[in-house]
Amino acid sequence: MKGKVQDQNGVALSGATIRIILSSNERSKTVISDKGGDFVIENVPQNAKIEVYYLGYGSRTLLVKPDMGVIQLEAVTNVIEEAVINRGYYTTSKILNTGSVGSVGAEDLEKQPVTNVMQGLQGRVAGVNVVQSNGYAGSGVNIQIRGQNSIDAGNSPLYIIDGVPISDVPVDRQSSGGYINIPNGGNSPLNTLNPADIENIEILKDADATAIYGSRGANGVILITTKKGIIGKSTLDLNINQGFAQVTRYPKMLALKDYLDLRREAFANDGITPDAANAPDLTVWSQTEGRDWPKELIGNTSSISDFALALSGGDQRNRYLVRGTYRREGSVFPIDKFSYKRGGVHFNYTHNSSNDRFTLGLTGMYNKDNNLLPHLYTPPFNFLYLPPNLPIYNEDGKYFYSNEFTNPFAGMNAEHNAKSATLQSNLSLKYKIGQGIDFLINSGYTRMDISQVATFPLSASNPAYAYNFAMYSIDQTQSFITEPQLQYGKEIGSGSLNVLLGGTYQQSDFQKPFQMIGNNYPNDSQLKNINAAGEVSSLTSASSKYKYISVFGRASYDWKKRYVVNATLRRDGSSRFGPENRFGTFGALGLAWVLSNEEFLQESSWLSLGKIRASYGTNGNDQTSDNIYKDAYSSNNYTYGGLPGYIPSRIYNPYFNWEKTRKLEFAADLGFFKDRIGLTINWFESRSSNMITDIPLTPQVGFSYYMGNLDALVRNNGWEFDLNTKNVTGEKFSWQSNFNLTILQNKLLAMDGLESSIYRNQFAIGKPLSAIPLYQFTGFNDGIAQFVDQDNNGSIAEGLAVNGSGDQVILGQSSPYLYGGFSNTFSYANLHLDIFFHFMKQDGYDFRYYQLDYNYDGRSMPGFFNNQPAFVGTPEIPVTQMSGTEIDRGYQNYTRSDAMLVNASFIRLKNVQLAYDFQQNWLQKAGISKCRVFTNAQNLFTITKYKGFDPETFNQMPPMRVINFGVQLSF
Amino acid sequence: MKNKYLFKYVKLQTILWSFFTISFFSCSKWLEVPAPSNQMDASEVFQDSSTANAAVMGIYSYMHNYNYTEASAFRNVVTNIGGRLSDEFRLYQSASMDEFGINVIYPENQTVLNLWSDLYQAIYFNNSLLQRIEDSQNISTKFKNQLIGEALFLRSFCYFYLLNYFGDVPLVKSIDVAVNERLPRSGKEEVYAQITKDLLEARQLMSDDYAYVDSRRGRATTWAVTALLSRVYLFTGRYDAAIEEASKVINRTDLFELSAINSVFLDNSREAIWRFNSNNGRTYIQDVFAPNQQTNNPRVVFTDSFLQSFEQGDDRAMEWLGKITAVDGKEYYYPSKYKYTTESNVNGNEADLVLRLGEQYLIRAEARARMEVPDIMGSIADLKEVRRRAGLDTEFDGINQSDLLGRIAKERRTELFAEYSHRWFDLIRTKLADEVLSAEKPLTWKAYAVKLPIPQNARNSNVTLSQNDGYPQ
Repeated sequence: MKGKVQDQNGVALSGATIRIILSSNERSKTVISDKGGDFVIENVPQNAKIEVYYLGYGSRTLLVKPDMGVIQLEAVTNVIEEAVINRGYYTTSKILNTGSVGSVGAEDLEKQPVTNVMQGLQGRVAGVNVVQSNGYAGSGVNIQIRGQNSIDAGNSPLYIIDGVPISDVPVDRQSSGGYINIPNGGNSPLNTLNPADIENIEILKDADATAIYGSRGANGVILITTKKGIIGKSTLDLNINQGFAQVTRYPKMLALKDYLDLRREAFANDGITPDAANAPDLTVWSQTEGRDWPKELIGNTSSISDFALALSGGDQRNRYLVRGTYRREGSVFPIDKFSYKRGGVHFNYTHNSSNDRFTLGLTGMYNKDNNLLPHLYTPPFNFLYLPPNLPIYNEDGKYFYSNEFTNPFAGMNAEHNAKSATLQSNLSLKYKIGQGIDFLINSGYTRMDISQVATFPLSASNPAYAYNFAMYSIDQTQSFITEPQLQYGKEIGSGSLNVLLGGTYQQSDFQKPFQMIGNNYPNDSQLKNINAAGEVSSLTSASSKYKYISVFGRASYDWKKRYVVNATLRRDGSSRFGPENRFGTFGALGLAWVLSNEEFLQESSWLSLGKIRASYGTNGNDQTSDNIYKDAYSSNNYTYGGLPGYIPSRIYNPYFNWEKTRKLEFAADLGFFKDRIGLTINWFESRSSNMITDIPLTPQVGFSYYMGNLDALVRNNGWEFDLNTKNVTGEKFSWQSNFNLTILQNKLLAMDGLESSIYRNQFAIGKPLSAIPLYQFTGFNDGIAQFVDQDNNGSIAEGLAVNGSGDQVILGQSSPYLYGGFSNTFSYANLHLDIFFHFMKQDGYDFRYYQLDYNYDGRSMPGFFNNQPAFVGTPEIPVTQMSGTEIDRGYQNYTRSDAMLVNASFIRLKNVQLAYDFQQNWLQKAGISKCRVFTNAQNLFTITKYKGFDPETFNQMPPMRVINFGVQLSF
Repeated sequence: MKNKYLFKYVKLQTILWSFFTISFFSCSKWLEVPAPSNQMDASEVFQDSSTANAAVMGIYSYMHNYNYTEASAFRNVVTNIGGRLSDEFRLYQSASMDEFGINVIYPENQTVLNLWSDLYQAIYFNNSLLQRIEDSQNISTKFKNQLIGEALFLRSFCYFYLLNYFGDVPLVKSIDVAVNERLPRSGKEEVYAQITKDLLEARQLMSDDYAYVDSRRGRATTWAVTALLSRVYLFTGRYDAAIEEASKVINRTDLFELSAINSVFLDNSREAIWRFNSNNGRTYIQDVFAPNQQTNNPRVVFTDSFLQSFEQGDDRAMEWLGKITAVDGKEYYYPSKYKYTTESNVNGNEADLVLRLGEQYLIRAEARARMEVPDIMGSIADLKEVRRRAGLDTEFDGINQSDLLGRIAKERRTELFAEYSHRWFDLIRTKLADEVLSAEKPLTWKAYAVKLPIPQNARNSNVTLSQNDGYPQ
């Protein structure tokens, strides 16, 4: 018997299940349709019936014929009910879901030519703020789900890949032995993940969803699911991409003539004659040829190539997938050697036993990358202020050096090279014990290695103080986790009960076999050779262990799919905490009422889904280092007369404990007009306490701080809106939109001893944690900046007025007030267009604010021996080139005043993709089942009033604008 | 029907709870992880003599060299600020901005806070050792006693400096934070009594054989204890006892001798009673005294009054002072008892001398002169020993007590300059600070500045700490 399964539009349905219904109690036989929708069943008894079903379509029961011909299935309109929501340890359906879960699928991730898959989440999910740390290769992505909970501990969500937790902390920073400070802020382990391997990313937000992650779920949970083999004939997929990248924005600096005018005016004001010693820029260097430093140093176009080749296929019993990927990124620096390369393999194998009782899944991913970064001369900030006419070369062709400035081109001879390798593997075994009872055990092993070499050759620095040195480090992290679970499901009365019981055992080892600094190499070519170091000035090693054990459970019941209750509980024990407080219990209760399933609304023509839900529960945050409470002696660096020495590491705190967060949420899920319009509205509030931080001590006790739990309370609350519309659903033309918006408020409600704590100059009660204290600027008086003397003591001093420690006040915040995304998907026949905007309303700081940090001798005044942003123009103040004057000190405070607080809101065309699918008929002759050509772009343009670098990264290397062209072929 | 379901629920609950409770009976212990490889559980450190020894070495290291970024108290801070607070030397650059040089110091001063914190941290390290070594079983009594003695000595040494910089200070004798964080300042007499008691106890416990712990004299023995004790007795006016203790050291000519003027500070000099071991024969002290090689300017320069205090023909003025012509074309003198800096790449043969025989002679000379019945002859003999080494041969026949004390004070000034704050402490101890420094620094000197302010940071988190008179309360 054979046949073909199609949908109502004649598109083949691959993976549809065809089950033979037998009269007796014999086990029924099932087959799955292949990629073309075809199926063949042998030895079918006569007069039997078959049932054909496919997720999201109505099933059909038919009498058996030798040739069944085309079997058409009709799409079920209410697909929401069927959509499965992954909640980590269990799944639920959208209609029965009691919590807040956001999701981004492969189709949205694949459109975005990003290096780090987490960048692909920007603006896609309400309540999830994704900010790229900087535009360097390998940089991390800061994700905050529903605001900042913690003052000093980590605010990252818990990342879980196929059930295995992975830290987003760079591997070399996971142990306590110090690390090499590199311009990208550390190589994020998530960067080694290949976006092409990801099937889906779910974000768990509220207590109902996160409480089952107990002491690690306070900041939300990100579940990453990798791709699995698809049932059907073996298929070869080839993906080729070639892209080009530039930094999104850099500021305009004064051109040479304006710069020189400003300098001359400063000298004239000071009554000093410029000479070769005090002003080489006015007297020695070129007066006609200047450089636009940002353009010259980060204004180049880099090339990005990306290839993926995958083989997948399988049948009902066995499925497999193997994928190999390779990526190379060039750089925007003037030298192309600062490249980033990544390659890896990913495989997955799934097996179902012939009696359908036993399931095995095995997944492995091995990725390597090689990241070359400039080190000594770290753009962008330290070159921004270079005089436009600073020479690069002397007349003899050698690098030009001055006492004031590092030669940026020479500086780029200093390199940082990080090579990392990541193995992620996971084995899942499931056995069906009886009706509705499954036992499963998920185990994972992760290993991450990174080895780094940073070289500082003689050729990178001024020969007057020249010496060469190199830093080396090796780091390894290994983690093993196993989670046995029992799942039970049963229809009871008019509803169904689902119970889950499980346990976790996890152990992680962090190793830093060595980190060292070598000095005085005989020549620069030997810098990568440790043995050639003339002297070793620092040699450290470190290791630590982490153990974690828990039990967890979940029970849910729904009555007639109208009333749903979901309860979760977890008890955690962690080696990170003191013996007196090692275990904690966390839990949540979620409730939902599906109005639209009530009889009085079931026939409603306009309301297709109506649900209100609420949840309340507790979570913990354990993102802190290992061993920081321990009663221990340290051995690093305390040698005496050549012999080892130990000193006490800290004040012992046996009560050291996790941070606690209580979360409350109310939400409504609505669908109108057969789900043409879908709307979700959430209101949430969380209160975090028991903050992990350094608690100050009077130094006479022996230490100035100890690691403890500060009695403080931080509140995050806000609204989330998510609107999905199918604007046009024609035969040929369709148009869908999604709009999401998050409005957020963060407030410090209480802090014990704030006025005498280390935080007194940083936080104020009733203000957000991201607030930055500033002076209130009142104007210039004779060129001297004037400020409100908040404490009326006659002098202007750093510190917050409300805490009685200075004259600064809190007027803005660096976290966004609101953010969101707006996507539109248009299809016309085989042509598809996606347009996605990301927007954010936020405060920012004029980039003169950052000037003080980067010019260590406070060279920030217009007129000083450094360039100024173009918008400074002709300043209203008498410019000067003398430092240490009252004008200068006033100006330094000016760059720390509210005059620097500006609007940094932006709307960004985050992503555009235009794709065309070629008709199958002529391609099939060539053996090609799918051919798609596309072009996409990331960060194409940004609308903002912000003057400076990019309003996402501010004083960091701006993110990249990428334009990419690609082909997808399936054989 | 209903009952059947109910039964099932009960069963499920029972399973759930037994699972939860059983799982957690034995887990707490399992969650103990060992200290990381660069650390050691405090309970284990004193179970073994080599790690216990390392715990003492760590204290010396912390007090002297510590890490590469921040100077610890005895690395060079004490010597440096002591010289600037008194009339020895000043900073070459930004002298008018140097809070120590002009004796205008605010409670927020970071160096003062670091000094206070470093000394109390060193005290904590000693207290930690004293408390934990008690239960130790695997260390021989002799060695254990030596370590206890060293900790008592080092703690006393820290308190001596705290007392002389700050006046009354909290007397912390344990590692119990709850008790110690509320301790108010103890009276000077009480702290000196504790120091004396600890030193006497330490001497009972320790070895008098350098070779037992460190033949380089880099660790304290009974001789270091005796030398510090004689200093403490001099400072507390117990002159008989000071003479007795100083004599114990001076009489051991088999161990100690006044080295030749150019070899006093070498790492093998027999002048040494206790020194901090150096790495590659270079000292941290000279890092703050040697001229800046990049700018060719001195870092600190002697005051005129100090230079004028040298007598004609004093070899110390030749051997222990350095001279440099600065970029401004003028000649300056700077301390140069040591010749090698750790910043240079040249290996030296010096070590940072803390307690030395020369001081013991001067202590005995002064104590003899100050006794109720002064031993003028004995005092002159001691003074001449020190002067003879410097190439000075003056006779002092017929000198009266007060003139002799003046000569001894001058001799301390020219012998012990730029060493561990001797001059600053002497000015305060002999109540001459106000007279001398108001002449030296007429614009800024205030009488209350003989004590440093208690750091504001320390007072913020301990309200019982009072501030010294004259400073903003």
